Amino acid sequence: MTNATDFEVLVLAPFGKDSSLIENLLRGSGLDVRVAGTFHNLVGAIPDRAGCAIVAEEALFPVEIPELARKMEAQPPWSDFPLIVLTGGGVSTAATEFAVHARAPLGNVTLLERPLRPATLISAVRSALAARKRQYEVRDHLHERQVAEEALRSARDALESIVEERTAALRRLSAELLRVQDDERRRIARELHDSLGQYLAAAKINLDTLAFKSEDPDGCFSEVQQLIDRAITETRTLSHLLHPPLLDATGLASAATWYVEGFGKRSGIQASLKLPANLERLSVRMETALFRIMQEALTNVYRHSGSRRVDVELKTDERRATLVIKDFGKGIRKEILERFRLSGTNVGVGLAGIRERVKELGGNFAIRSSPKGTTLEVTIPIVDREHSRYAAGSNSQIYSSLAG
Amino acid sequence: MAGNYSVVIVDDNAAMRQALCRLFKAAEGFHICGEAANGSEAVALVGRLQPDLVVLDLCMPGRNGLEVARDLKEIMPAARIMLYSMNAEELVGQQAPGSWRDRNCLQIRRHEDLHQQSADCA
Repeated sequence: MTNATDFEVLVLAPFGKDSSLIENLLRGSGLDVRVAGTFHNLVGAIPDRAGCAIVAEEALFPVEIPELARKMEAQPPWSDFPLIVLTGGGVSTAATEFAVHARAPLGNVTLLERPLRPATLISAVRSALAARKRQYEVRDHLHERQVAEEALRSARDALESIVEERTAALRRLSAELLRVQDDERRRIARELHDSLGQYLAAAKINLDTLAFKSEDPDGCFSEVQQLIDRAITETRTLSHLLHPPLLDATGLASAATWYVEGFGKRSGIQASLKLPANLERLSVRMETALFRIMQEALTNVYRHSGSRRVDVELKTDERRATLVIKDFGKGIRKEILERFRLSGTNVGVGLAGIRERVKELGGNFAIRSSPKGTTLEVTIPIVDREHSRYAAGSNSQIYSSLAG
Repeated sequence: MAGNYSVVIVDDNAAMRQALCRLFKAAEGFHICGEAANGSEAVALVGRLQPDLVVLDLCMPGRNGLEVARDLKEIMPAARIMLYSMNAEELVGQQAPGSWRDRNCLQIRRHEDLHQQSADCA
């Protein structure tokens, strides 16, 4: 109900001719009028279709005012029902003052003195109805806003759950990608070793045999021998960097030792590795992850840190393995690190890959960086330790005795 | 002196087998008496031919060179076995009986070193 012409004007003036005069006047102005016979009828009809009420002062008995006051009190926040009280004329007395105070709880009250001038009454009624109409408009507006807010809230909830789903899907995808990458590297490493490596080795042996029996006046044989030697070395290095055979055969300790040593030689960075005295075999997943993390971290040190030195340390206890890689380079810029902490982006694939590997294994990952260097610390819980008879110490022993 | 020592070559890669055969034929003091492409072929062949030297690839599909070498020592205790691999690193962690090394009857070499080795043996 928002149209002023839809509203009724309630009239309670039970004594004398006021009621019929008012009714005729208002109807003559095209307004809808409903005459309430009693105070209770009046209270019962508010607000219903009523846009305002005209009440003669003498119909408001002080004992009954609280009932109307309660009705007004119970209005919703947007509603302020207009009440026009017709007072007697003349000077103010103690009795009229008392009546004014008694009506105070009725809220939106307009006093009109009798005798009434028709134009005054009609303008007061139209003004009250217009105010009432605006109140309904406010109500509708509030309702619309509430509906919009609810729609917004549910859209936001839906969006959040979509984001959560997508994030989970992306996490699964990135874990899957890392697994595929590991498998692929392992496969290519194996292929390089078993196929290309074997053919190169056979070619080298044939060439050596040929060279053994032949003259080599222009150094062509020895040139080709050297080239094939280089091809064999490159193939072996490539294969081992893709997937060190030591990682599967003897575990993280020997693979890490081999890698850190080779890293130092290739990069010219002074690289140290500290391992637990008797490192037992961990699960394949965990050993692969720790090895790859170390590989990524050292690659970052080489590419970005400018450090001349890097310390790698692996610590284990019954429950977790901790890998710490500390460089003494220029550090990661604060805003880049902050962006990585917030969104995990803009730091290249290295750190994001490390984080994904750590997350997949339920571990933690911390970077501390200053202009004096960067320390990366990764902790992974040990859940499925694989006991192995191959301990790191005895392996190195076998290696040295074979090499000797 | 030619042909004094009989040799069996064991490698799953045909090109490698052929190259090794040529190598030992070229070196004085050896003759190739047989070739095998895997462990069980090798065991059968060695049992029948009783060669002086078995040249064995460490890294073969199925049973690897060390496992095959253990079997060969059973049937041919006096034989010399030369294990070779593209990667000496693969040998780390492979448990070879200590006595074999003491008696210098098991040598583990890289591919590239085989030529020098065959010359040394001769």
